[in-house]
Amino acid sequence: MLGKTFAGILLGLPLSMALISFVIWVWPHSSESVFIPMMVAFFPLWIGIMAATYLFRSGARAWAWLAVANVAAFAALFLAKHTLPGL
Amino acid sequence: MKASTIRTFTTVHTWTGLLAGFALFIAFYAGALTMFHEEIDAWALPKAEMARADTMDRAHAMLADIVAKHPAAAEQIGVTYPADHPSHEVAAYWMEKNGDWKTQSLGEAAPRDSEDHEHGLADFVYELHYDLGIPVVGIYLMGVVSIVYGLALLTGLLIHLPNLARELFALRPGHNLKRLWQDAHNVIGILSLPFHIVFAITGALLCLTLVTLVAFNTLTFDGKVMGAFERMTSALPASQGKGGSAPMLSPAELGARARQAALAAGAANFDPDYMRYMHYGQQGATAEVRGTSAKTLGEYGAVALDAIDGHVINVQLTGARDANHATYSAIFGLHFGTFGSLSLRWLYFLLGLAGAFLFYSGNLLYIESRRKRRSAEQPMKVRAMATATVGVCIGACFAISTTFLGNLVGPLFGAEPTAIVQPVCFTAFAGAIAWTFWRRPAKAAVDLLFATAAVSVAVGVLDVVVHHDRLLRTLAEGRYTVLGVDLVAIATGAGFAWLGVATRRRAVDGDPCSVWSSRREQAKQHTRELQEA
Repeated sequence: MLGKTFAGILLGLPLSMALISFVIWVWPHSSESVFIPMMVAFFPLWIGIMAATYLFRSGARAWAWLAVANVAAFAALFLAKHTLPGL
Repeated sequence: MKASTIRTFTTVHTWTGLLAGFALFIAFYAGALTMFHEEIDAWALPKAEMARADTMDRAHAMLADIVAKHPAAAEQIGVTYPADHPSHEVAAYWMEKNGDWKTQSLGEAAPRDSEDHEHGLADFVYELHYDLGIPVVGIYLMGVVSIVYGLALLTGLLIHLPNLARELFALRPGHNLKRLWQDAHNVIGILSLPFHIVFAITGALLCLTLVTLVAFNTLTFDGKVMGAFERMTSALPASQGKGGSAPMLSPAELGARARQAALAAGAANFDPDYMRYMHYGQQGATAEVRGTSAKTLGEYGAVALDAIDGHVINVQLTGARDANHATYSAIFGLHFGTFGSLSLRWLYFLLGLAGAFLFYSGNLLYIESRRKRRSAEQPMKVRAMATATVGVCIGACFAISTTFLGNLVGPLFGAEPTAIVQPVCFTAFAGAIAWTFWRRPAKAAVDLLFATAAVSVAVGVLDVVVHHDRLLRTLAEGRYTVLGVDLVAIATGAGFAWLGVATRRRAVDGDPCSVWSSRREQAKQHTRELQEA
């Protein structure tokens, strides 16, 4: 339980930041035009990830899957940053 | 949903609720009162009078004087417009070279630190709402509490989801008290869920704006967020001062022009409350006037103008703004309940009190679920929880009522209201906690509820007695603010007295095998009989 809790807090935070940033970055026309609405979505997303983390069978699996998701999200963000104008 | 999943979410809901519940109780109780911030402010400071006709002309002169003495202020200097509640000063704000924000209000000869201002009762209650009265870190603590609260809301909804439709309007009074509390907790939680979602999200955003921006700025946006955020939330485009010198239009004139532009853009009205100059006194100087409009979700809007000739550069207000400005303004509108009239403020007030009840009933459910049904002695965790719940929650109600009383009585003994509200509140709160430890929660709850009732009634009655001349004057002028605060104080007292009577009945007549029973001897006897049988 505690393992999942900390996975949700510590890995859920960068994951939700990367996902939100990715959506802002790939938003068509102007990334800046949706920045604040996306910031509103940030805390609910993090909270949703924290709650969903409890669905993993064990703490170790939660850490592993969230780590993979983080790598994927930051890789996608890295690609977006190098191909699109952004803010 | 699988039974094990529901069990997991129940555990999460319990612990997040316990973790955040105490802070949220105080935040919701103080926040409900803050819906009437201006009324309380007018009530609390009877001597202060504002809004002289020439106020803004004097402000214009003060700004010129400040910029002459503090050249760094020319880069950016702001000033508030008068509002019709007493603790609202007309004051200038600017940043010195070393990055410190300074302020100087009308009538002051020298600037002071912008953090350093005295707080009236209404401002103090507002501070309790967003930082529990804890300086510096309190607001970040409340931001974290908001996130934990969000998690508690989501898990609470998920575990209740299978029974949601069937039990929505179930409120089953009867022998099983836990059932009744559970029903009450669920129905209030579900019916006010949209309100709570709004508060979990906007609460976290308002407390953690800066932290969030800094995190995104460094982690994902390579330092570009801060400049962009300025563009997303203000009406002023970035500009450079062009040096030289130029006469500035006055804040009053710029405010009037901003209102004209706002009305032309379709706003129902526009009341300026703050404005700032960029590059004050130089060629290329600009100004932004911020103000509020009715009939929109986000009441705040802004108009950017040229500070020399007064032509409109940009308009960002209701009906004429982009998604960023609209969302940013809506965050404030939704949180502060400013998108409607007086009835909306009453609705927020009631929902705020219902929210406080939600957190209180959550703690009661924790205690009731872990109660030993056949023993007078209850487990340590149950006793600790009962002590904390009574001490912190009812103690906070007692402390806030006592602060109102202190604000009223203090000046009769020569004390300055702004100087005593904080010590009175903290002393009363500490006293209530100590009392709860000493008397045990069952008796302390009754004592504190009756004490809160007595103090609240005294607030209303004493104000009528002490300030009867003011009451008559305001009524003659057709203003019902003062009378309203007095009546609500008395009504609150009646409410607490009713809770006290109910709690006393429970302590005396209720099941003796409970932390809420005051009949310890009888309960022990009962336990012995049970053991013998």
